[in-house]
Amino acid sequence: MAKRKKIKTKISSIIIASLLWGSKCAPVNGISLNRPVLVKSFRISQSEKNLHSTTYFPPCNLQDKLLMSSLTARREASLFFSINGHFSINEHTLTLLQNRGGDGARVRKELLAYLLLLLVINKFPDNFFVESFVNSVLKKPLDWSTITPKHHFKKSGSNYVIKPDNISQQEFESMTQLERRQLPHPRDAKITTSKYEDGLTVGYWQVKLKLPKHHDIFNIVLDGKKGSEDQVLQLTDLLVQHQQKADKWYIGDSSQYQVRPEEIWKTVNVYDSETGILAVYVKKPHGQPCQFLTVCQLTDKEKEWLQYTDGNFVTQSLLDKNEWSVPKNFINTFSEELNNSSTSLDKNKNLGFTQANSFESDVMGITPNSQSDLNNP
Amino acid sequence: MDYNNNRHKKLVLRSQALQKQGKSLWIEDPKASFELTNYQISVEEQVFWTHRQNFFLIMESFINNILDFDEFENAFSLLYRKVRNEKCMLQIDFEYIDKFQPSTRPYTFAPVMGSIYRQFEGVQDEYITEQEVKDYVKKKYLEFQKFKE
Repeated sequence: MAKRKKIKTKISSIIIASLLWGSKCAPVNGISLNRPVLVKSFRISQSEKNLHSTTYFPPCNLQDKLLMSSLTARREASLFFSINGHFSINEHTLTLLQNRGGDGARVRKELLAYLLLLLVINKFPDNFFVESFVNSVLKKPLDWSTITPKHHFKKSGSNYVIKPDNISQQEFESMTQLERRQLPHPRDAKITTSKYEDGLTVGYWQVKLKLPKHHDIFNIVLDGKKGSEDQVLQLTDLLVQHQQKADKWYIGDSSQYQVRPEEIWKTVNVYDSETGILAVYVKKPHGQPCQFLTVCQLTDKEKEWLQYTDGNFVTQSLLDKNEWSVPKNFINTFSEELNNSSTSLDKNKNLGFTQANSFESDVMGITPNSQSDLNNP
Repeated sequence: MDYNNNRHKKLVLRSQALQKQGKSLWIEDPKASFELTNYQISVEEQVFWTHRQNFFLIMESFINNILDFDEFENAFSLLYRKVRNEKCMLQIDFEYIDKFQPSTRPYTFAPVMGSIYRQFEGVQDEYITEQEVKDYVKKKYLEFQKFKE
């Protein structure tokens, strides 16, 4: 069987070589018929680069299907492209030619079909197909709003995550959106620091999600609505720099992130008091690095709460709605006056979700005196 | 805590001096830092208040469905960031601090704007819905309008 294959391969090679010789085409240096390395022209690489920047969309919507199909089309087209006027046959083509079983007639038919295509394509200028495809599809502005529902990306933002090869589809589908965004990616930034022994990870997918909402705090001017790949990496770099510059690391039990009354994360909160920027990293089981969750420029009330509770980050939204809670074993370590005040932050209650309506007036507020002056400047 | 213009200025100066030394008031003197933040809250309130008509206009347009959620988020976020930047400048501007008078209103405005701004991220993270944000905006808008009467 193996002998027969070898003979077939040799015959195929001879036929290809003779036909290519006859068609005034020269072989590309370094390409043998024994599973050569995939060779691409510079221009194809550029197109590929452009195309790759658009491959991070969820594979479930029409836009992505189109983009994915464009990638597939590019791969198919690259079977036939020439390099500097010379023909190149890629790995896929040769594998197909070499490994295809069945009778000799079928192989010959396939060979003839390929060779015919090669000859036809030779009559077109270099990269004709790639350029025409790029011009007709990719450079043409598409009105996605007519074919995708409004807010599509926002609602399925987490679906940006592409399933890694080492995880089964079933396992991937059973993950929460956040778990998916915390899946490893080659562009994750892993931070080793003396401030927190398990270290931190600034995950690519999470940064990508947060970029549109938080680009402004680092003065990134967003390209388009979602930002570019470069800007995702830029924000990652800025987060790495942020933790280097941060003067306060909250890593104890009181360090939390409260996003809604029933959802409190145990976090490492990294705060730069000069800029008021806080980066939140979710704690993982011992030995595993914390995962980047979000980054915010704190409002003044959030700052005050953070300091008062020794690292408890409660969003302004919860503070305003009085839906915040106090960390267990909360002890205010810096303000005796505040501890003695009539605040509802009662450290003896070991509060889980206790609300405290009087926090603003008791602790943070400046007592108002007069009635409304809404229309006054 | 009563607002004290001179104390505010002193704390700003001290904070800046520490920054030059690579230190921070937050770490070196948390009590003083806490006090400074309180003064900053007063400034924040007044700065946001001066821009209230712009905020009301955007909120009203959203409530009346003139703006959809995305448009509201964009418009509101732009205004919020602009005012926040202005606030950051004024909190360390001694001329402004000298003349500054804290709010005497029986309600606060800036925290509500901050709350709306934070809720945009909540929508992204699917903690709250767009409709819940809208309901909150409407509720707060109507509350503020009551004070006009």
